[in-house]
Amino acid sequence: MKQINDENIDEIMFQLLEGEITGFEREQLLTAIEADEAYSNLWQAWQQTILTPELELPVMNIRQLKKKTARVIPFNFRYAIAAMLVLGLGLAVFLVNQTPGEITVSEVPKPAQTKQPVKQIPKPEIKTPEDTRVDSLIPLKEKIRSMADIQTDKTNEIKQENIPATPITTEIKSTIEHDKIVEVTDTKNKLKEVEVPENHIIVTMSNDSKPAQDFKKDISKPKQTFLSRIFGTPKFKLENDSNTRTNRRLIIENKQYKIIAGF
Amino acid sequence: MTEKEYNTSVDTHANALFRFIYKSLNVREDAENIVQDAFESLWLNLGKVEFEKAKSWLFTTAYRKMIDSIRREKKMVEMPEFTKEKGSEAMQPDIKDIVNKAMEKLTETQRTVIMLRDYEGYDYAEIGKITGLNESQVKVYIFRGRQTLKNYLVKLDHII
Repeated sequence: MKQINDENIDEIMFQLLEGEITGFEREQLLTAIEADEAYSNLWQAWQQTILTPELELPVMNIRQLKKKTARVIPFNFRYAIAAMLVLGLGLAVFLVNQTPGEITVSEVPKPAQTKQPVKQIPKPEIKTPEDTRVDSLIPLKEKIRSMADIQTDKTNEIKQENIPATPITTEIKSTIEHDKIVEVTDTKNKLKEVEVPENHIIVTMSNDSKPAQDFKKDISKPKQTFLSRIFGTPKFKLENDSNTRTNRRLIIENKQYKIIAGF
Repeated sequence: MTEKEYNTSVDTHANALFRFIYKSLNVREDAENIVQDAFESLWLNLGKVEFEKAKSWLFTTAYRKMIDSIRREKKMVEMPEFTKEKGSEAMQPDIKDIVNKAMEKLTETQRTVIMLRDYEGYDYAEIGKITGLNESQVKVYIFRGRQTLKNYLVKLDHII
């Protein structure tokens, strides 16, 4: 045990105050200090040097020091993959179960094949060479030419709507008898059988577009697309259909769809 | 340290830090500014400071800012106003008022280390980190500070 004297009393009391002397030695020193009144007063003064927290001190508004923290939602790869699978599966089911309406081309009723009344073209006043009227000053050659023009111009009145749109060479026989158009027929196969009278005019019509066989080749090889892999390779068919303008209709069908197009 | 831990540090240490600075400066606005600067600095160094060391880091930062403020303004620390308001006890001042009066006799460093020791319960090593002193220097400053306080109290006791 340290001996207490006037030289080391402050140091010993400071060590006691700071807790550096503990246990039995501390008890002995405290007993010795209490035994001496001067040391006891001095020890009380040392004890009063310890500051006690002052609760009456003003406090600070700590709300202004705080920071607003955003809620962080951690990204979970498992949940993300699961969500993608569910969404993808739902989309696939939706697409597979979707039954598209059959696309058909409405058949336009063909107008009745009634013979239209023969257009009566008024006879022009042709002044024939036999016309003996005095006011006829037209030369004979001119009269003959004008008569021929009138007759040939009537061939332009052939209705274009009766000409098929397909690039098939079609021969149209036009018969003019006594200033009227008698008949327009597709004579592709019957041309040989028909005997053309002397006073008939034969008109041959054609266009330069690709023949229908080329078109058939193009559509017969469909490209393999993503949808075709899912729904199967579409099949193309060309069938005869008298209700269409071309007398044919195109059928495209796969596992899910059947499209009929007539034109 | 996370943002949440920062806010926890505000709840836990802000008032203690404010009292520590206010006790030294005795100017509320200056103390608030220093505390605010210290926490702003902590926010900026959020990734560098561990939550367990936030208190020590805050006191260190605030102490340095306080020293800078004192040096810049060359202010003398005065007695806190709240002790002067106790007019009824002026004739018989209690020991706390006397101790507060005695604190004026201490140097800035002595006052700081004693406050950190008594108010916050830091050991010598922690006080040394905050103030930039080693443990021996801290011990010496505390001893001399307490001795000054004791001498003042003993002398006043004789007068009374």
